Amino acid sequence: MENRTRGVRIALERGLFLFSALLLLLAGTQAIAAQPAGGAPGPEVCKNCHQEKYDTFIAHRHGMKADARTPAAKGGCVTCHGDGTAHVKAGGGRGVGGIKNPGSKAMASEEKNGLCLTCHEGGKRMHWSQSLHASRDTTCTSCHKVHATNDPVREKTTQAEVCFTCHKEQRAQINRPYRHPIPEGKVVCSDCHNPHGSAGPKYMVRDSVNETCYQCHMEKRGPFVRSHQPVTEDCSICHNPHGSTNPFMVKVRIPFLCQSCHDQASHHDGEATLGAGGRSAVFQARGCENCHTQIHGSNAPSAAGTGTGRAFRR
Amino acid sequence: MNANTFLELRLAPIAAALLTVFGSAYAAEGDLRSRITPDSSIEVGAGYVDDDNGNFGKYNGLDKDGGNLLLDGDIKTRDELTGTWMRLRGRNLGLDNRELRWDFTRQGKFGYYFEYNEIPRFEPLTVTTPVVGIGGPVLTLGPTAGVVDMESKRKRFSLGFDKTLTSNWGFNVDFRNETKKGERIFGIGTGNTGEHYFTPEPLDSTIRMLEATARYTNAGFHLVGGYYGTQYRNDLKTLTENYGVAAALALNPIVLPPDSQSHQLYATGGYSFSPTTRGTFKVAYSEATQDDTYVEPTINGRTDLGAKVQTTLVQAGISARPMAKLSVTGKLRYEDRNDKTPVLRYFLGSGTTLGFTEPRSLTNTSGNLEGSYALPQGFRVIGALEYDKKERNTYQFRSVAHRDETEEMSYRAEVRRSMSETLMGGLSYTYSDRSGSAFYQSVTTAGAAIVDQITPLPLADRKRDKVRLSLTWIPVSPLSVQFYLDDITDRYDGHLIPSGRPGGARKNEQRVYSVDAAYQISTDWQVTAWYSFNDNKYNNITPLEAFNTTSTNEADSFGLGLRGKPNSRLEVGADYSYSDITDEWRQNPIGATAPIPAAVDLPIAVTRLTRLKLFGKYHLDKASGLRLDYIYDRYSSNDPTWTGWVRPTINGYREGTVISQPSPQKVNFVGVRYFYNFR
Repeated sequence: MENRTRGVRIALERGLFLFSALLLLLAGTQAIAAQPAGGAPGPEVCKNCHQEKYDTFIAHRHGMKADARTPAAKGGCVTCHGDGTAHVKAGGGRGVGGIKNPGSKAMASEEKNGLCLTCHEGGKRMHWSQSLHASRDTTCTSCHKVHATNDPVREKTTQAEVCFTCHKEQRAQINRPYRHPIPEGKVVCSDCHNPHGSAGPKYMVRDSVNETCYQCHMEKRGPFVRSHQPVTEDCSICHNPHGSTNPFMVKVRIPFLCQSCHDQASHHDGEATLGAGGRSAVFQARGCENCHTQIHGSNAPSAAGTGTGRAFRR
Repeated sequence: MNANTFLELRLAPIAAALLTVFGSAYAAEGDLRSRITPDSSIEVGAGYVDDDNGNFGKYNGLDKDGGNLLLDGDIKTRDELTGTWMRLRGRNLGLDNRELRWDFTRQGKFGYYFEYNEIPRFEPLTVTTPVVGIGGPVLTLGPTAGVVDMESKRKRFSLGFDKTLTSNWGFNVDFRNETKKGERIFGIGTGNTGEHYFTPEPLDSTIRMLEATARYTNAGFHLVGGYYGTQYRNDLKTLTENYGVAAALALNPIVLPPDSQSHQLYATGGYSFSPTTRGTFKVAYSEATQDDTYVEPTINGRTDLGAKVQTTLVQAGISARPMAKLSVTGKLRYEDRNDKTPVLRYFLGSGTTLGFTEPRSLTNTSGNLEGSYALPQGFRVIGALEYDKKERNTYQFRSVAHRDETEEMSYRAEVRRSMSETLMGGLSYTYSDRSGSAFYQSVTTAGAAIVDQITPLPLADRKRDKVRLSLTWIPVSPLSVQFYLDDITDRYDGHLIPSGRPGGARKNEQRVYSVDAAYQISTDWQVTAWYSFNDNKYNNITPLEAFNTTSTNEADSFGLGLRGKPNSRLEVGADYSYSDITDEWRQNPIGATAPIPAAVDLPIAVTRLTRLKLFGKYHLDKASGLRLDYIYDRYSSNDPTWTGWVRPTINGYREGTVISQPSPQKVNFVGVRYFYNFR
């Protein structure tokens, strides 16, 4: 009986030993798993010196391991910053090198952007390589904060401030009396522009200026029985969408804007006045549009009465 | 050894192993979870505006004095195992410009969103009118005039879905429905010395947009094929005024924008031929139609325009680095807008039209080529060519001179410096030359040539000089200074046809000078400052009365900013901005420098905007706190647009409507909020 009991104990001891060994092996495997393939240092190594960057990395979408496309799933920091073995062996520190640092001013813009474009070259960034931003040394990190949980350029209320880092004229214009609600964050730069490049002019999100404007101002599209040629060609011939002191956000005050094309063939060439009974109606109130109310086009098909659609008057 | 001892001893390695594997994992998991869980916040409070205003509250719903509910929220969750993100954002929920958005993403698999967004516009002008029925399709006159609040509001509902099918394939759908309701300032008139009537335009329309795309990605090859459809529906077709005045009644009914729709199919993509060479393209075909039923009979019997515009776009570009130091990019673009609207006679016209519809087609061919060569010390020289050609159709009878084609060539030389710790930026010079085919001298329907027509601004020959300088200077690590200069001079060859005498656009100058500075005082304090000068000057000549006009817009703007953390619980900030804008319109007889007689001279308009924003954020504990906001906004302007537009002083609205702009407008806003942050 005692021998039998002893045999059970020995078997149990061996079993427990093997189980313990397996558990410890598993623990060791987990530790090894923190090292990406190829022996490059993993995030656990990097965080010893770059804790803040590590924290923002794991809190970012880049740090989501469940997505097989992310740096977190592909080896961590080394995915973007390169094999940092030499950096680690040298003891780390500023200027030691051995890593790719897009924050460095010594790194060429193509190289910086190349890191991001490795994964982000499709979608809205499809036309990046032909964009003026690309050829003007603009880098992804010029606008985006990668190591942050909130990227200001992707938030409506803070996006414009990022763009104004370079676009100074627009910074002043968006506070003019006639403007889009950009300071309020109700219209943002990326509603109209794709800063990553597009097939349209001026980084337009649609294929033309007009198609972009029609997203919100589709009533101007027509076509109309009577159409106004520059309206059909390009809204920005007359309008400055970033803001103006002129009503309707026109580039030059009416009637001087209208007189840039229209002349004495009718009555368009006279001076603007404020005098009673004079030509104040071309300058004051709605200017020329006091009469030519449908300046974007008229769909009135009849010439009845004195107000004709022909002259954009009804 | 008893059984207990045995268990204690023999189980010890198991416990150690379990602790090693799961104990540290459990502790690490808790720590990890706390670090990767995104911050959420809720803010609730009250705000007070001390006075009615037009400019400050135009788009934010703070246009009336009184209290407002301030409610914002940003709730985020993350599930590491499933790769799930959820975000619910509410902004300005207690105000008229509220918005709410829900995002759900299973990263790398699928995602969807819903968004509701209100975009109001409160008319900043004060309207005192006897007109009744504002916002509706029929206007009448009431017995007395009163102040009316005019506003419009867009209510936008958007939703979208994105699905990654495989590592190569995916698709995306976005939809937007936007209604716009309200009214806006509008009027009709019977001539520049005739009668004018205030007829506010009613707004009740819907814009719908649907875009669906399928995408393919594979090792440097990206392809997207898509459909983009739009629809405009206007519930109001006409505006009728019953003011009982014959001249005004003759303009009835005023026809409001018709329904229209468009459909587009497109494909766009890019292919990396090598690590240094990439090509991109887009091809698209669109068809836009407008066949809304006419509101009145036509002389040709048609009940709608049957308008159809077919647009074809082909665009291709390539970028390459054939040598280590040489980069080259090039792009070609062809867009043909073919207006196939039936040409029929609608008006028994005379003078400058026979009354036929005049479809407007446009073919735009453009391209650019740019070479960039790297020099030592981070310098780079760039040379670029740009070409733009527009071909338009035209008609024999016109009220404006015309040419079929314009062509513009631009040449750019640039030197840039990057990769420097202290000084970066670029200096470029661009010269452009626009010309085109011969101008047509219009003839009237009676066959008479129209003389002394001016060459229109968008078509006239133009030479442009453009200089741009952008510099970022970091003399010491906490200080950065940015200089910006943009100087454009356009010289137009505006002239009269056929005499060739000067007429129309002559010169346009645009200048922007700007300097920005940021100084990091300490890790907790930062100060910024900026100044911008904008100057636009446009000169054109009107022929018959032989005077030239110079429209000048000059603005000085500057701002100051401060951010700081006086202690671990307190954050403070201040932003001050000021703009002083001057508009001047000089009308001088040709050959003289003195302005035309004072009776018809125009006043100089000065517009000033001042805004001071202060905030303080006090953390009561790790999760919660109070935020105090104060805004002072001052707007003043002597703009003459509406000044004196009162019968019988000048022309004014005959029915007695008076529109004015209070100046100055001073507003104080104070907001107090409680915020709670959580995970």
